[in-house]
Amino acid sequence: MKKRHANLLLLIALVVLPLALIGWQAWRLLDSESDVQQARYDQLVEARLQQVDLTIQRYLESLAGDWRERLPAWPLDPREVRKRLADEVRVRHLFLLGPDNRRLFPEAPLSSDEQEFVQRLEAIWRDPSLLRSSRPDSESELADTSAPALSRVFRKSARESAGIQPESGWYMWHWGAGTRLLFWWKSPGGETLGLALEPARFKSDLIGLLPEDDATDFSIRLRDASGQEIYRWGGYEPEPGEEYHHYPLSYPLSSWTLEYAGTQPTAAATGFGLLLLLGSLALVLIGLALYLYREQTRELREAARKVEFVGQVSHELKTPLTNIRMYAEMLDEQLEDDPRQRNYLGIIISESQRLGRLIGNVLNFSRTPALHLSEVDIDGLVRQTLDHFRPGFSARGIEIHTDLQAGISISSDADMLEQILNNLLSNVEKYASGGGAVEVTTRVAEERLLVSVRDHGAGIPAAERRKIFEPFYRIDNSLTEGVSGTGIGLTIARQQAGRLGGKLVVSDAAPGARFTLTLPLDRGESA
Amino acid sequence: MKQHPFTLLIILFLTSLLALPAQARQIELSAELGTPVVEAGRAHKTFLKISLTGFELSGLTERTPANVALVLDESGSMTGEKLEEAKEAALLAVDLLNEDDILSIVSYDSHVKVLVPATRVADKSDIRRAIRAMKAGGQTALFAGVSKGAREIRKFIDKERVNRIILLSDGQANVGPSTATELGELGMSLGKEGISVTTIGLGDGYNEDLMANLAGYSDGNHAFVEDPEDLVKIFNYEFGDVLSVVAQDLLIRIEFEDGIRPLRILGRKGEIIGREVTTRMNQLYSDQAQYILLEVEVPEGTADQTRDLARVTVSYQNMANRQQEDVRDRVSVSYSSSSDEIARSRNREVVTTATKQVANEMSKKALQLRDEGKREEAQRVLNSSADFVRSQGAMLGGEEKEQLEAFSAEVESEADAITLDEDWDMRRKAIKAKQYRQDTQQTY
Repeated sequence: MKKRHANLLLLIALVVLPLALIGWQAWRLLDSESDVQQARYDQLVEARLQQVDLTIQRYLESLAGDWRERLPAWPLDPREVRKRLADEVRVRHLFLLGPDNRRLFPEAPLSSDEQEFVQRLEAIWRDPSLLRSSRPDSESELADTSAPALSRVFRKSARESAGIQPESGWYMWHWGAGTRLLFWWKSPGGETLGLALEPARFKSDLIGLLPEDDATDFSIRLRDASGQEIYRWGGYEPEPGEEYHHYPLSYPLSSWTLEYAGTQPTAAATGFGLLLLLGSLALVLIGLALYLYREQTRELREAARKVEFVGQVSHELKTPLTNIRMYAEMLDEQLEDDPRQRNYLGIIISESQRLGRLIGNVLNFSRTPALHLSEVDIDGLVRQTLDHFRPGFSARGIEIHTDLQAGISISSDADMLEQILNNLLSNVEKYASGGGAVEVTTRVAEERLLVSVRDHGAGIPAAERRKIFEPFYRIDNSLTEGVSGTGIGLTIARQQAGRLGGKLVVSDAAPGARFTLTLPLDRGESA
Repeated sequence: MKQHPFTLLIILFLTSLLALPAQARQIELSAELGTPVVEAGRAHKTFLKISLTGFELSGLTERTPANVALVLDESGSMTGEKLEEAKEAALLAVDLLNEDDILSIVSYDSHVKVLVPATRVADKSDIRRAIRAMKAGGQTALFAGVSKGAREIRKFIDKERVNRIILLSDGQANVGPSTATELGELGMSLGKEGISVTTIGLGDGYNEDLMANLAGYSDGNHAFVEDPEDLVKIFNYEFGDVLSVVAQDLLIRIEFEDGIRPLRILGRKGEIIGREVTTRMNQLYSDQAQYILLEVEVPEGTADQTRDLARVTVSYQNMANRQQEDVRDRVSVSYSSSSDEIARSRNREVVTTATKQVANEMSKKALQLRDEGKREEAQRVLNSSADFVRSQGAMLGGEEKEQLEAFSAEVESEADAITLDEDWDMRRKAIKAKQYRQDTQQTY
């Protein structure tokens, strides 16, 4: 039974180990794959947001371009400038500085709105060079964006106009919690015009430019400097707790941010394939393991059936054999003293006895006999058994030496003990007759009963000593050649020793081999 | 007498042809003082009323083509009857427009959708289908909705069209810029561009300051609708308005003479810079009178002296002949020592209007105080407003006296109610809408 469990475990290992190995490799592969996908995703996000940034930059550039074109035509005196302001829908406030940087417009009388504007831009009136120091022109900003083709176009146009156009650029300043944008332009005559954008209108224009996309795989939000959301598009609903990625816009809106959330890339496509592969591999392996397992159990079942069959047959043989033996012995008693007839009869008896032992062995092997405990006189039993072998031994020229010193009776199964001895002695008869002697001793030592059978034969090589107790194992050498045997004698002997609570071991006796049966004096309870 | 109907038709047609060139077809401008004759020997404050009157457009063929963006709120709070009524109203709008008009429909919740991009109203069935498919849900991205509507308008923006966004919302803006100031700024910028925004507030959930600001700064209309059934009525008005604009993009410039000091503009938004006042109006409807009211300070003068007070210039786009035109007027003030003459010359109509407008300013003040939690002060302001109106009525006497007394009683009941909590949300919206109507001389 233990062996079957071991087999099962082995088979499971056969399935699990390769699967685990391949799975691990696949996981590693997927992991690196997901890294690649993550990088690709990041690129996509980057590209999308850059597109937005670029759209905004283009819008700013078109505003700036438009003004650079139109402003030179403006009459630069305060009255006219005020009139122009009324037509500039995107401009909230406007200022005009003279060549000496003196403020020409707005100048008193001021409307209340203008008054506030003048106060907020106090720093500029004090130092108009602040405008220039922030960032020279949007063109230098575009050089920073990672869309080289586009920025080249812009820069080219900026360069083309550079000869005619004096400086211009964007200026951003803080107004309350928010920021305001201002476009400034310096005329050839040295005057500076500043156009402050209407912030709400600027935001509204940006919203107009941005898409109304309701694709569900992403969501983008635009936030201004104060963190207020301006606009959102894309129908993706972030999981609770999912974080938006933040990207700042380019100058002059560097304090504005774009936020992105979207469906994360999944290794679903490749992962599914791998999973499928792993799954089918597992199926194949499990199938194979099951097949092997069934094959093996089938063999075991078949072997068990064979043993059963042999046991059955042996059992059937036992009765006729007993009869043969009984009548032969009865005949022996009544026979006249004709040595030839007596000799024949002796052979019949001894052969039927041998056959009886053989059948007894087979039966013992195929089925576990019940224990029949009784008081057994060990020395007597040994003597009695030896007596059975005397004719055979003397025929082969084997002398029997006994040294029986046990002198006790123990509670044991006489039949089993006899069978153990039978097996040991029959082995001596079969394989160690060349030694010419067998020594059988009994003694008591250390609360144990020792019965040993020592022959003077060829002995058993050390390597074989363990194997000889395995069923059906026969040493393959000259000794066993031509000698018939079942290969189960020692196996049974050891099993029976075990059943009796003792053990059977073999040791080297040079020359020959010694089999020692050890039995406890107090048998106790044994399995 | 039996005549062939066809002959009758021809006669009618010919008469109308003859009548057309004869029509004045220019807006009328008149500048009047509340007290054109003032007492000599001391400085005075008086009211200057500048009235603009449209002319009648004859027949539907003359109707100005419209460029309308309907911006519809489909946020979660619109669920149910409100959205259905809004849809009905939008469908009505579609019915009122024809192939010469351009219509776009934008809806918004947390996101903005352009349901119908700006297009000539040719295939109405597609437009109707888009309207009927609207579903309510999500937050209120009002600013973005109006912005997208403005973008649609700009695709076909044209001085020869009436360019208008009609916003219909029941909710507070909660996605994107959402303060009254920001919406006002957006409205101002759109107004400069010739796009006016009419805001219609539904239910008691909306932010009336925001809606009034957006409409006010862009020179549109603002109405508060308590009952969704009123929507149809308002759209009828609104489209009546859109369909009968006779002048657009009016720039009113008033240059005061030396010594005359403009103190404030009542109701309208405008700029006072030194002695010059400018204000704008996006449109003037046919046969409708609009006015600008200013309070001015007149320096002292001697009896029988007459001095020039101001020159008024109005530049506008005439929608009948598609021309840019100017109209001008002058106004002067006389001094007298006869109180009789002063009383006789008093312009009763201007004084009445000014009185109501001043009362309106006080009502705004009271509302502000009430918002700040100063209920008693608010009540005091309204009570003094009622007293002022009554005293003005007593001064004028006659028909105006009755009118102003009724008005005074109204203000008094407003004063009584302002300290109460009950239904304040709804009442505040009603008050705000009333103030708005007074300020902008809105027809509904």
